[in-house]
Amino acid sequence: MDIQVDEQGGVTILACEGRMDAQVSDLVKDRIRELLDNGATRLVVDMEGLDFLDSSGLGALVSCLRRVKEKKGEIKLAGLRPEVRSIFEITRVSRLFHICETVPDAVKAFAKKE
Amino acid sequence: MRKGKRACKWVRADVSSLTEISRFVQDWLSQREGYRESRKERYLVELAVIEACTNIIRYAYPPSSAGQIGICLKEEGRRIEILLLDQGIPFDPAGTRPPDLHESKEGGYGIFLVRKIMDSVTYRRRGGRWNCLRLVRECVRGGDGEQVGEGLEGLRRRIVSGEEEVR
Repeated sequence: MDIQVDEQGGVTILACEGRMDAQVSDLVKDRIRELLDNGATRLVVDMEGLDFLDSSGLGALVSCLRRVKEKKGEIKLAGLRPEVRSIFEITRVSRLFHICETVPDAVKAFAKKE
Repeated sequence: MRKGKRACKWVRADVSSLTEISRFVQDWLSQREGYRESRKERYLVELAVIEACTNIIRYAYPPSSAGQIGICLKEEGRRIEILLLDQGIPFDPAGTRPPDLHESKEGGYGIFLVRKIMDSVTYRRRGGRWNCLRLVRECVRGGDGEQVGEGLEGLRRRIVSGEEEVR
């Protein structure tokens, strides 16, 4: 999996491409922990390029959300493919995250909260 | 891999094999009627296999062991059957408790997802050393926009609406 990090108006955007499974779930956690340690608290995970997500990837995102919330921050998810979104809904993990259609929607949602 | 109705493969029981397992399952499904037209259907079956294999990799064998997983795919009429074989610690998914979906758990969703996606999940210990996990999916067939059976979307609707009891 490839993760590209960008910033837009004080929001850190992680564009994920490829597979988020047991092979890379720890890498995702480490990458987000690193960003938190560097002061990022408003994050958007761009999942448009994500081909596959399993329960390990889902668990990694929940773990990261907990850490971000400890720092009074938030993670928003954007660009989920229908099949990926369904996994969030079946496991009801969808209620933990603010899920936006697109990255600009997620960035705007952060701006509205200011 | 054979292009026929049956295909089998052995892989090392390691997370580094997951991509290879996915490709194997996707390639086989893309030749099956109903699945070749529906990315969502292929995704669901791939997810169920990956969840079950990840469980074997994590819990059946000691770390850094040379354990293997056998994956056999079979089509019979409109149903597909997946048999997963390993020689690790016996494990019957029927004995696992489903996650409490009201809590924000980080784990415990794997077997839950396998059960939700597949119509039948059965475990047998054979010959005193083989764990055989059989996953069956009946005839949920149709394209992405024209789903014949209930499929994941119907299941999702029933769970969200509270009609579906979470087992």
